[in-house]
Amino acid sequence: MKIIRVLALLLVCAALFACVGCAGKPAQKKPYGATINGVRIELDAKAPELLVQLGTHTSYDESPTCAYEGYDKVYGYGAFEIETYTLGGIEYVRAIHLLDDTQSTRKGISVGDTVEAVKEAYGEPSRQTSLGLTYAEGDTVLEFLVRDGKVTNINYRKVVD
Amino acid sequence: MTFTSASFLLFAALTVLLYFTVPRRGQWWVLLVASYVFYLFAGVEYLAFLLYATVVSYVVARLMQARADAEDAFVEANRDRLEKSERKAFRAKEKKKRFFILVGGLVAGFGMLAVLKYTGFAAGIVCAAWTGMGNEPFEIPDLLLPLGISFYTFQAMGYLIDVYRKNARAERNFFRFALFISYFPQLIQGPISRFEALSEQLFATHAWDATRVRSGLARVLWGFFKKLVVADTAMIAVKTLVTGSDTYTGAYVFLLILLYSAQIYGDFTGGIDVTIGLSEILGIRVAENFNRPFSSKSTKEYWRRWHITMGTWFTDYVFYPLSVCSPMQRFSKFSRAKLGNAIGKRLPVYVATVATWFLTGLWHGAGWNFIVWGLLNCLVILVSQELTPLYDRFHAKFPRLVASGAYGVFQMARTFLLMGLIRSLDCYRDVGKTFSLWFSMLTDWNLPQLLTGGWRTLGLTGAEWCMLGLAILLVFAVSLAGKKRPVREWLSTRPVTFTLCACGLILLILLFGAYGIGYDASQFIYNQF
Amino acid sequence: MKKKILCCIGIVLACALLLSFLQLLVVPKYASASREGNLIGEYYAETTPHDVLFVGDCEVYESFTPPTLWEEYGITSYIRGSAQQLTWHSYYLLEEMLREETPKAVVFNVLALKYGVPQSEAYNRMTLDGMRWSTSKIGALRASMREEESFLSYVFPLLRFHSRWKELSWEDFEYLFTRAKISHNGYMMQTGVHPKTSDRVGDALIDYTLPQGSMEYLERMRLLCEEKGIAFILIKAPTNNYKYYWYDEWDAQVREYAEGHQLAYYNFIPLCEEIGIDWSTDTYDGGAHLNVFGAEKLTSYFGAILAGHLGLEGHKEDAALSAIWQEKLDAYYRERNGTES
Repeated sequence: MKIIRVLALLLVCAALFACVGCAGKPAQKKPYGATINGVRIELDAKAPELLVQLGTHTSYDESPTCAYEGYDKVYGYGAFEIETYTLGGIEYVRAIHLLDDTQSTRKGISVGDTVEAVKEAYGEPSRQTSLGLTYAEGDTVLEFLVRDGKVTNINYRKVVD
Repeated sequence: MTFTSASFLLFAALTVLLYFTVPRRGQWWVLLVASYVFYLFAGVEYLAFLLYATVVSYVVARLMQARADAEDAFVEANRDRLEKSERKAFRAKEKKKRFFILVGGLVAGFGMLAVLKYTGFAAGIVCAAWTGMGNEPFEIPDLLLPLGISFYTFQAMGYLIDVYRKNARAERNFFRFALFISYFPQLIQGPISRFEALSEQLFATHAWDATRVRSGLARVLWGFFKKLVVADTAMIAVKTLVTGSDTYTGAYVFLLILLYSAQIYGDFTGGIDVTIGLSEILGIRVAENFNRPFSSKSTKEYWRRWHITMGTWFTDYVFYPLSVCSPMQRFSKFSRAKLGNAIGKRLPVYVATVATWFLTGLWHGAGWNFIVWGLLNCLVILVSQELTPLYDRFHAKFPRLVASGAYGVFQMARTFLLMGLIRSLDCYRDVGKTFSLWFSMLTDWNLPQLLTGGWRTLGLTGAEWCMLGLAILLVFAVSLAGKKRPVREWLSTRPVTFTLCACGLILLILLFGAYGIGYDASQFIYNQF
Repeated sequence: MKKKILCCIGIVLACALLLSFLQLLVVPKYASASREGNLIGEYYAETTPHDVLFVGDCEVYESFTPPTLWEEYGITSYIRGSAQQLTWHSYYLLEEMLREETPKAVVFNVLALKYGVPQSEAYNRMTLDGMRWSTSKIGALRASMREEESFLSYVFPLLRFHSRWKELSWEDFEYLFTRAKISHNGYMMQTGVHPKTSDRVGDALIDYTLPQGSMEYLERMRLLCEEKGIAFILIKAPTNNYKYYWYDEWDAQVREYAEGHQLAYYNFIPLCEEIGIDWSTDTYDGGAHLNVFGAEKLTSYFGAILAGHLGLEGHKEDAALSAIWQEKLDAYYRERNGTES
C-alpha cells in the first residue's frame, strides 16, 4: 500500500512538473508599423480607413488566397506600397514596402542609408545575410534589403503568410 | 495558468488525486508543493517575491512571538515581585518594542508592494510635474507586477498585525506558514484569509467525502459558467464600448454600466466559486467573499456583501486602528473643542473613513481612476450617513411605502446603478473622460440609435445577446433561489437532479463559453490587483 | 441506490452522446465556402490502389487531373493535397497512405518548401481535421500546431468550433454525418477563366535559403519512398503570379538536392510554352493557379513523362478497374461540361 502511495506521489509530482514544463508564455505581440505621410500604419491594422487617408494609389495588383475568399492586394503609391489580406470580408495590412528615400522608418532610416546607420538606429539585427538585415518583433519583421552596403528596400511584414 | 485553462483543470485534478492518496498527515505538504508549482506557471521570476513576502512575515512574526513569549514568561515568573502597575508598564514597554518590529515588517512587506505596484504611477506624477517645469521627460520604469501580489501581501501583513495584537500565535513551522501565504486556490484573487481561520483548515487532515466533493465540484462548475459564459461574453461588448468610447456615449454608457456589472460579478464571484469549490473538494473551508451583493439596499450594505474579506481587512487593520490611534484621539479632542461636539465627534471618523477608502482605491490599482473610485464610494457612504435623519423622517412618514416590496426593489436598483456608475471608472480608466461620459448620459439621447441597430456594432451577434441575457437571468434566478438555502445544498440531496444539472452546466459552458481561439484570452480581473 | 447510480450513469452517457452530436454539428462542413477543407478526408473513400500519389499544396490539387491521367495513359493516381499544405503535412499524409498502399511513384510539389514554420491555424485545420486518427496524424499535429493551438481541441473539435453555434446553417445539418464530395481523386476543378494581367514579380528577399525545417521533411519523404522502392519525383507546378513566385535561387537548391539523390525534378514554369499553357485562358485567378483547361494540358504532358521516361504502365485492360475509373471520368466530365445537377 505504502509503495503504491509513494509511486502515485512520484507519478503525480512528475506530472505536475511536466505541466510546468508545458506552460509556455504567449509571445508578446507588438507589431511593427510605419508612419507614411503622417498616417500611422501598423501591420494587421484594418486597411480601408488607412487607404483612404493615403489617397489614390498609382498601381494595383492582386492575387487570390488559397481556399479563402478574398484577394491579397498590393496598392502602389510610387514611393511605397501597402499589401493587404482579407479576413471575414475586411482588409488588413500585411506588409508595407518603402521603395525610395522620400519615406523613412520611425527611426529615420530610408533607402540609401548604410548598414551602419541601420544598426545604429535599430541595434543588432535578429538576422543578417549578405542581402540584408531583419529585425523581429512578435509576429512581424522589419527588413532592410541591402546592396553594396546601402539599403535598397525597406519592408515591414508579417512573419507568416 | 488561469483557472479556466485546460492545464489548470489537469493540475487541480492531479493535486486532488495526490492529496487524497498520500498519508493524511502529509496532505498539507501536497498543497504546499502544488501551490508553488501553480505559482511557477506564472513565471519563475515571480517566485522570488512570494518567497520574500513569506520569509519576511515569518521572521517578523517569530521575532514578535519570541518577545511576547518572553514578556509573558517574565510577567508570570515575577507575578509576586512586581506591582500591577509595574507589570502594566513592562507590558507597555514590550508592546512598543514589538510595535517597532511590526513596523519593520510592514515597511518591508508593503514596501515591496509599493515599489512594484506604485513606482510607475508615482514616477508618472513626478514626470508630469518635471516636464511641466519645462524639463525633458524621463523614462518611467515599467516594473514586474507579480501575480496576486496585493492578495498575498495583505494576507501576510494581516497575519503580522494579528500576531502583534496576540490574536494569533506565530507559526513555528516555516513550511506550514509558507502554505498559508501561498495556498494556490486563493493565491491570486483572494479571498484574503485570516491565519487563525485558515491554518486550522489547512493543517487538519481530510478524508474523501463524496458528498462534499460533489458539492465542491458543483460550485467549481458554477464558477466556470459565471466566468466563461457571463463575464467573458459581456467582456467582448465592454471592450468595444471602452475602446470606442468617443462614439459610444449617452445610452451606451448606461449599457456599459449594466454589462460591466455583469462582467465583474461573473468574473470575480466565478473565480471565488472556483476557489471555494476546489477548497471544499479538499475539505478546506475558505471564507466567503460575496453575499448576493447586488441585492444590497445601500452602499454600506453593498460593501458588507461585495469582496467581504477585503472590506473586513481594511476595517480591522486600517479603519479601527486609525480611528483609535493617539494622534486621532488628540485630533478628536481638538476638533470637539474648536468645532463643537456635533462636528468634532464626526470629523475623526470621517478622516479615518476617507483614508481607508483612499487606500482601498489605491489597493485596487495604481491610477487616479482607482483613487477617485475609492473616494467616490467614501463620499456616497458619508453623504448617506449624513442624510440618515432625513431618510428616517421619510421612512416614518411613509411606513407603508417603505414596507412595500417595490420600495425595496427601488433601493436595490438605486444602489446597483450607483455602484455601477462609480465602477465604470475601472473601465474607462481616464477620470476626466469618465465624468464627461457620465454627463453624456444626460445630454446624448441616443437610446433609439442603440436599440435600432447600435447594439449590433458591439461585437456580439443577436444570438449572443440573447444567450448572454438568458445566462444573466439564470445567475440571477439561482442567486434568488438560494436566498435561504444555496441551490447546491438542495441539489446535493438529489443525486439524479444534481447529475442532470451538472451535465447541463458542462454542456452550456462548452458550447456557449467564450474560450479558445477566436476569443481574447482574458485573465480574471482581480488577478491584476 | 442502485437505481439512482444507473440513472446517473444514464444521464452522463446521454450527455456524452449529446456532446458528440453537438461536436458533429458545429465543426465546419466546408461545403459551400473553403471547400478545400474536405479534400484530405475524401481519400478514405478510395477502394483501389494508385500508381501515382501526388502530395503538396494547392499547386497539386489545381494542376493535375487524375481522370485525364487515366483517360490518356491508364495510370491511376490520387492527389493528397490541401490549401497551404506544408511539407510536414505532406510527409505525414504520405506516411499514412504508404501504410495502406505502395504506389510506383510519389510526386511532391516543391513550393511548400519555402515555409519552415507553421503558418496558420485555419490551414492546419483544413489539412489535419480531415485526417483519420493514427500516429501519422499525431505526428502531423505536433509538427504543425502554432502556439495558440491546443492538441485537445484537435481531439475534441467542439472546443475549437463551439462558437459556431451562432452561425449554424442548413448546411451544418445536411452534412452532419457525411461530407459533400468536391474532388476528382483529389483534383478540385475550376472551370472559370481569369487571365493573368499583372507583371509583378516576387519581392526581393534577404535570404533565399530554403528553410531547414521543410528540407528535413523533404528528406524524410525521400527516405520513406526509398525504403519502399517508390520513385520520388519533385515537381514545381506552373504558376505566373507574384505571390506564388518561384525564385531561381530556390530552384537551384531543389535541383541540387534532386541531383544529389538521383531524383527526377521537373520545374514546369519554363516549360509552359512547350506544354501549351496560355495564361490568358488557362488560369482561373490571374496566373496563381491553373484552371481545368490548363490542368489537363499539364497532366497530358506529365502523363507522357510518367509513361515514357519512368515507364509506368496503364491498366485499361483491367475491366474492374476500368469500370471504377469510368465512373470517375463520367463524374469529371459532368462537372467540366457543367451538366452536373
